[in-house]
Amino acid sequence: MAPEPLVAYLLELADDELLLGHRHSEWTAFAPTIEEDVAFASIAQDEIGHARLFLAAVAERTGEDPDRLAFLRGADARRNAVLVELPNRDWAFSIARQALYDLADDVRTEALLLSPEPVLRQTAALIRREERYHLEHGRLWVDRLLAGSGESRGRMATALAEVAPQAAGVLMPTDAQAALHDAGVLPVSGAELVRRFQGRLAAWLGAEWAARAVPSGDRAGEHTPHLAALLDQMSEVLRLDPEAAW
Amino acid sequence: MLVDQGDVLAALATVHDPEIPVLSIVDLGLVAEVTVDGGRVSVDLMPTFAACPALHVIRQEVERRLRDLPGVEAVAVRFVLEPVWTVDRISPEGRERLRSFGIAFPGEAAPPCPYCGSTATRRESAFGPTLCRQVYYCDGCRQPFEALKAVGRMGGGS
Repeated sequence: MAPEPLVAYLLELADDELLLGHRHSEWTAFAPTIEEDVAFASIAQDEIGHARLFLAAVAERTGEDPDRLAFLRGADARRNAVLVELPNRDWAFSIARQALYDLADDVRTEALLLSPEPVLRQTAALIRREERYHLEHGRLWVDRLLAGSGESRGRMATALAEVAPQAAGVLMPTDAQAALHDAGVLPVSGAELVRRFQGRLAAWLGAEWAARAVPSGDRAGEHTPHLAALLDQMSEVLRLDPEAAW
Repeated sequence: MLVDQGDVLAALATVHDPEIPVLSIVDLGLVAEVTVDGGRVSVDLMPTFAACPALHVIRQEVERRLRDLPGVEAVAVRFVLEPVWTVDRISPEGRERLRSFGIAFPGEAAPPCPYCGSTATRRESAFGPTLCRQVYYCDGCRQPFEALKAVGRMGGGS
């Protein structure tokens, strides 16, 4: 049985934040500078904290256990954007993904501030206090790498070209979102969110980059094989003894 | 013996942030609401950062301190989403204790160095040893120092 739209949407938000948080955490001890090691670890921790808020909201409505929701749902049940499940590659890719995901998330949570549903409005307000530092971080690094040497510029441009459509895809409406939009719970349509994202990209990186942000990677449940591998790794310890008390 | 609001607030003032032990949760402005109904006490706290690991410790400590109060029969501690905690909820005394601990309170511009008072400071990184702190450098005494993030203060300060 499909969950009610609000629960489905909360799980979409939770999965985006949880999986990207896990991907960011993979830089711990491997980032190019100690400051970036700390930055990615902190951003990862923030995102996982946001996932926890969304999962707590699900748990309140369904009585399920947030940890099991986080770790024991299979790839088939996930509705995250494809962007967040992709493996890290070079530094430019991770920076492009952090910067553009957080830009898309900023557009999304800004719209949630106007939702009549308290849990969406209040959670958005809480997490946006933290996200301003993520936005600043991503912007600073993208600008820095684009202003660097030929190799730096080239890698950043390659990463942005790949990430821009996928980041726009974060805002692609699912059935749950469409139902919530029709019901007035989500005040802004997915199509309008994508337009706002493109507008923000145009103001920052220029119209040519905004034009590339044509959404790809829909959220209807199609995933890359990377997701199953990622979930396998994330749940490895919990699966050893799902009943253990921590 | 009956417990009253004053007893509860006094007990809450003895619960300290494990990551910034010079500050109590009252100094931090975490207490949103206290309700006393006979022997039943409920406390609403505001989370600072969504993933702050100190919140669990604080909740346990609040429950323990309140259960120890004479006249208390039941304790309920909740973290609420609203109102939203901002850095400006930290009391003036709390800001001063923070400075003496070596952590600057964020201002409109780069904060003065908590060690030497110099205003020749600059931010090195927005991310530090805990989620709530960022790292600055003082050109006056040539030392790094930490400042709280200006969370909840939209548009102003860094």
